[in-house]
Amino acid sequence: MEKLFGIEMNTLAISLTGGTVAVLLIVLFLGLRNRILLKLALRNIPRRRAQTVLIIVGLMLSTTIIMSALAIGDTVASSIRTTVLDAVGESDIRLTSPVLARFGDDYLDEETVELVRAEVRGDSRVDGVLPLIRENLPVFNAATDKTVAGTSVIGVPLDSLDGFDSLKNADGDQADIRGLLEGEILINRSLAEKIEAGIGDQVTLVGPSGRSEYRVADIVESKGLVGGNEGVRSAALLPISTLQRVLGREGQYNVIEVSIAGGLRVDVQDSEDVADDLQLAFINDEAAETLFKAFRSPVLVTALEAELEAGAGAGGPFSSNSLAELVEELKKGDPTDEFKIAATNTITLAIVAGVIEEIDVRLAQSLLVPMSQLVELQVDPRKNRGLEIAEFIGSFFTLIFSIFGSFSIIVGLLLIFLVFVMLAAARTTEMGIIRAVGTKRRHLVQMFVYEGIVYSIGAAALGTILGLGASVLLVYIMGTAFQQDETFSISYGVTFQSIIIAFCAGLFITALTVAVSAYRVSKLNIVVAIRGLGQEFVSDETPSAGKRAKTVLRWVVGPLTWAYGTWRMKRAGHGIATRVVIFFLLLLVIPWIVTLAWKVFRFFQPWLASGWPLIPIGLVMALSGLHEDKQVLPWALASAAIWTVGVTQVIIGVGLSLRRFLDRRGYREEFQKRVSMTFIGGAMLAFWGLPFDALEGITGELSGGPEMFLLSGVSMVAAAVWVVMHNADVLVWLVSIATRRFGNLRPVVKMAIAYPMAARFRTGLTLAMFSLVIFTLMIFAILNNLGNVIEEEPDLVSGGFDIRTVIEPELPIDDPADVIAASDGQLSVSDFTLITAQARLRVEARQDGVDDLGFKRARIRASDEAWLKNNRFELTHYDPEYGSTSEEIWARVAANPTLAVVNGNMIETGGFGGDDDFGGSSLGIKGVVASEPGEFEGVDITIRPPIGQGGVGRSVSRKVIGVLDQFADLYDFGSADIYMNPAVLEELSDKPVPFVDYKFRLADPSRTAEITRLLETVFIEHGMLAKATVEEIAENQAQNDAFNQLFQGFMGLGLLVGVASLGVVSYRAVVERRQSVGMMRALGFKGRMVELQFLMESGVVAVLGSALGIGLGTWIAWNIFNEIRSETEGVTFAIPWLNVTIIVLVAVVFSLLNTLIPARQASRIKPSEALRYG
Amino acid sequence: MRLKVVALFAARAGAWLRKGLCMDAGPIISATAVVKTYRTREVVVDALKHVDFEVMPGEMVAVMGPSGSGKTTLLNCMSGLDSIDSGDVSIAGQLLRTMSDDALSDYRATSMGFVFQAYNLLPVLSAQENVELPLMLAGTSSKEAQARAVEKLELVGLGDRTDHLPAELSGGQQQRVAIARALANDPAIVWGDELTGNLDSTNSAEIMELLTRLNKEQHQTFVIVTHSEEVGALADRIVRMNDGVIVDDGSRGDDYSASAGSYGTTAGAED
Repeated sequence: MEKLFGIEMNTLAISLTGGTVAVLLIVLFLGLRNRILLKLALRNIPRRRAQTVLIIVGLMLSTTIIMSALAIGDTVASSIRTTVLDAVGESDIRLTSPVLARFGDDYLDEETVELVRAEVRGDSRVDGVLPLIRENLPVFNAATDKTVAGTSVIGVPLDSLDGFDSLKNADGDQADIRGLLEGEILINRSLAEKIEAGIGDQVTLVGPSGRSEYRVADIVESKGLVGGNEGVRSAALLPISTLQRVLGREGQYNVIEVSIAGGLRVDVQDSEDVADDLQLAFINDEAAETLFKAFRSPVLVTALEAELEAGAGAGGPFSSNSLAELVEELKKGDPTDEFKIAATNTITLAIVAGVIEEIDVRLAQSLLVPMSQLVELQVDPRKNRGLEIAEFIGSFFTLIFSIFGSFSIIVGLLLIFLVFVMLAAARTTEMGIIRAVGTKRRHLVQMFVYEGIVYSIGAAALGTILGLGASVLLVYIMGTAFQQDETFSISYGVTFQSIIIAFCAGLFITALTVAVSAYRVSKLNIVVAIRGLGQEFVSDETPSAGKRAKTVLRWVVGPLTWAYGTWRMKRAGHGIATRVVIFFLLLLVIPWIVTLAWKVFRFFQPWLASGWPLIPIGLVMALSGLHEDKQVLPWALASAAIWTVGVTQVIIGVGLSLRRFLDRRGYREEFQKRVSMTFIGGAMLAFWGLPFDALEGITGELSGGPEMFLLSGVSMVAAAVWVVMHNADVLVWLVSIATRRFGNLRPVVKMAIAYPMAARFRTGLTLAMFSLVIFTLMIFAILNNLGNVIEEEPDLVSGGFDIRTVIEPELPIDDPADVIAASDGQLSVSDFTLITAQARLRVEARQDGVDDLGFKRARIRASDEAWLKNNRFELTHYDPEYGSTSEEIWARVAANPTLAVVNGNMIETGGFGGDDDFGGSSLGIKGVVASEPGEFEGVDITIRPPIGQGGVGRSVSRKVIGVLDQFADLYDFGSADIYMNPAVLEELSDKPVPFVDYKFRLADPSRTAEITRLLETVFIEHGMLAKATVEEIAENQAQNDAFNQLFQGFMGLGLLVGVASLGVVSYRAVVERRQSVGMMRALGFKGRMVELQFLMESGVVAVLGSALGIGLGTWIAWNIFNEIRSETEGVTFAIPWLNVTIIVLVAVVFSLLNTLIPARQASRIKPSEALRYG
Repeated sequence: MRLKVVALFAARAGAWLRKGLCMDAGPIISATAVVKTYRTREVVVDALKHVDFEVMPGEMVAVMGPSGSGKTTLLNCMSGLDSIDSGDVSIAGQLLRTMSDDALSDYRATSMGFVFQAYNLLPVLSAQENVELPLMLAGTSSKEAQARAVEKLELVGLGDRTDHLPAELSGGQQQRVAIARALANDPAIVWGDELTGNLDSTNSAEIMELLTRLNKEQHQTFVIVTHSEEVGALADRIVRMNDGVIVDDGSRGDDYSASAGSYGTTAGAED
């Protein structure tokens, strides 16, 4: 990956390394200044090896998770990268005719090729220009009767192969492409395996003019020129003259590939520059001039700026958009090169055309011609584009894994905190004595930080290594998802930057948590510490406001004093010393800012803690988060995060004020705490647990991303633990009632509850960690279960068709029934109850009567009557004027060419998070919302051929009267498919558009597999690719399952943290409670009773944590489910009890196993030894 | 269920023992040729060297001697808290080495009470809960356990401190709770290890007065390890140890020569 969270990986790695080194230097500097503290701090590390190991294990888990997330992102990016590089090989830039085959002739003549050659001649950046023909045609081996229908067949001029000749054969030698003779063919390994052909065998090529036979000259790797196409990896290569003859295209080519010097190495900049130069060379300057003059009218520029403001400039690597550049260039006097390049972007041009049409229809009409003439050759920097996509998807994966991993990371950080709090507890007396002899509190903090930094370094290193290991395992799981997919395979890959980032980020957050923990534990009361009393005796004294203000002031002027000192040193001539001081001064700027901010916070803290100031602050924040429509304050940020955090602050503020009120009324402290904390926890639970759109009436539509998932999860778990821990006595009471009947268990239960309840902070923390882990696993388990609706109702996806096929457009079918009848009895028309046909046509379309003026991409699925009347796809929305059932609507579309149905992802989701990028570069239908299925008023749309594709001035209007279910045609639909009567084809295209999609319903569905195979054979002259829909569903389901497993495996790392936390707690408990255990043994506790008690303590936390996690997880999952259901028909909610049981069992059993060793140790404590050192 | 029967039986047995043994006047604790050696990696310490020792029912015995003389080891070995290397220890006629760890635990729960120098109260339980714990272990019902715990705390003068956590009590008060806990099951034997070691003289005197009163009234056997001559003076008998052997077992009419130890037959050996 090159970017993470939008930041360059290099920058991130360098700054993190810099930061880490700076922190380490500061710590080292402080340590060397006061070596005795350093010595005191570090002596524990080698002395208690077992403890050191345990701490490092506890500390490393966050790093492990970060490393895994990064490695998975890297792997995905590098896998796609490899796939892209394999597919494009040495071709960096591809030039094609701007005209799509559907709308005219997309072949180029020798003259054009010469122009391209002339353009790059003498350009040292380019090392090869290769004109060729690439068509998908059936190839078969008569000897084995095996066929690959859509083989990518390439014809190349053998004398122009410079820069493209690095193909290797099976022996690893360079294949001799130049030596290919007439009548010979090179096939790639994929094709060779599928048709079982070897060197010297004869293979048959099926072309429009019939069959021809070739001898296999060599078998080469499936890469580069013979890397195959999007769907099929199989490819074959012939001399150009042969293929030209087969296709009847003498002297013609349909692709010109350009190779940038450097072979497979990618020079992004060179590639981009050459692509721009080539594009500029093949732009019609006259058309550009005309368009520039027309576009720069002030009215239009203003309108385009408004479009940009409305978000029209947005686009990803899949739909790049240059509207912003275009508008910028329009402000200049002449059409610049940048303007021309921007104008070649078809998405941009479609938006501009739409806007012009709204302003001046006649002008728009007159511009269609120059628009279509603008681009003479389409230049596609395909290698760069492919790598961008790889990068995008890789970053996306890391982002997703980071977001879901952040739960585990938080749990890991809590564990670090817990480890240090317990470490401090074990050393309370020692620390008390150290303080008593005169060390300051900050010295204690420093000591812990020194020790902690050493652990952190070890933990970050170990965590990184383990993270790499975990990612290898997870990638292996992911790999199984693509086992069947020949065009894409997962190969493990991790970058050095990722390792550096994981190590530094791990070290950084671990060290930070250590510092925070150190600060907390340093707040000890000396007497209480020495006497080993409980924390409840530590009164947290608040210094007066004046004292706090003084501290803030001291920190404000501190650096000034230091700077003054430095200046004086410089004046005194201490050159080197000054530099050293300045160096550390620079290093200390960030800690200074942080400390100052902290001191300022501490200044206000007593007021904030009293609660009431949080109410106005929270209110302002909550109101700031509202949608513009509901605006109360002068600004409105429409942010779900700001709104929810604001409301949470108000809740906490009210709760704390309530406590203050109860305090004034003289209630016991315990009671005050219980009432206020239960209120806070309960109110937070109620608020965060509301259905996502419950408050939309108040807030308006808010935008929120994945951070909301994290926020709501953490808030709900924290709130629930809050409530539980402040009402623990109720729980204890219930347990004691439950165990009253088991007399012998009573003392064990009593102790097993008493200890966790006495250390509430520690117990609460462990409980929170455990709940959080189960919570996330639970949500995943439930959400994974939702997808199964496809398996339950395959007709939703398949429309009741058993086999879905696609043929080569160059090899159209006149009548499929005739082909079947002529199949020598292999197939019979009676095998089928239904045969339907559909054509595809890329178009641009616009919804009439809405603000969005631009034409956007869409695809027409012109369907024959058989398809329209007999498909079983369900509609979610329908115009009641035309019918109220799916069948009625389809029948009307079949009968009336002016009607249409659109697919389910073209309408607004109306969901949580809004529709910021609604539609994107593809057509979206506004005003129809997925969450409101049923009746809607038909929507008019205008459709026209894409600009530059001929058919200038043609356009048609259609009324959309139905919306397809989201699952319909799931494995076949594009981003904006419009289904309609085939009459549209003639209206929009100059050329006849052939049917390419044939779908079959069988008389005997049990013969699906056999007939699927036979169809490919019988329709070989048409290059038919057939797929059984059931199989397709199963394959996709398997892929989904593998991804879910990957996620669960990743989340399982969090479980590891939860389990580890209980182990750490138990281990510490045994050490801390040696004497108590000795006394219990003296009182008559048996060894196994002690063991049972320790197991119970962990068990209580594990079971309670699981219960909270399951409850809250189900709650949130239910809300998410309702959100999904509002958009998608037919999703059902079910708790996967088996899965949940396994998760909980694993969690509880492993926690208990983890506790077993310390519990055993405890049970073996000899009373006489434990009591000896009273 | 099995545990409960054993515990009840043991509790009864304790009561019978106390009464029966008082009548029979045979020793309740008897140790013969007890040897205990502690080994660390480099050092071998012979803590008890062939010690013979007997305590009669209802007797209050003080074990005294310099630090490291083996007093605490003797107490630990006699009470079954620690194992012995050779010799025999029997309590109420039962050989400890024939008892399993579980049986010993049951025996401790029902028939023995312990009071230590560091009080060793369980810090997470209130005074009353600390006293209830041995009662629970002996299978007493919750209600009865509560009542008896309060009763015992009243006996030691802490009836108004039942809900306090150990950390909220003074040292003397904590030791009283420890005594109440030791007495909770009306054990036949109460073992005390430097039980006044952490207390001032007033508190020490009060505690010892309490113990002697209980000893007289309830005929319980007390074995107390102590440094304090004042505490020893209150005992029926003082056993003196030095270097792992008993140099004076303080028996009246015993013909044991007192010349071996520097302590000799000092004051306080008489009752």
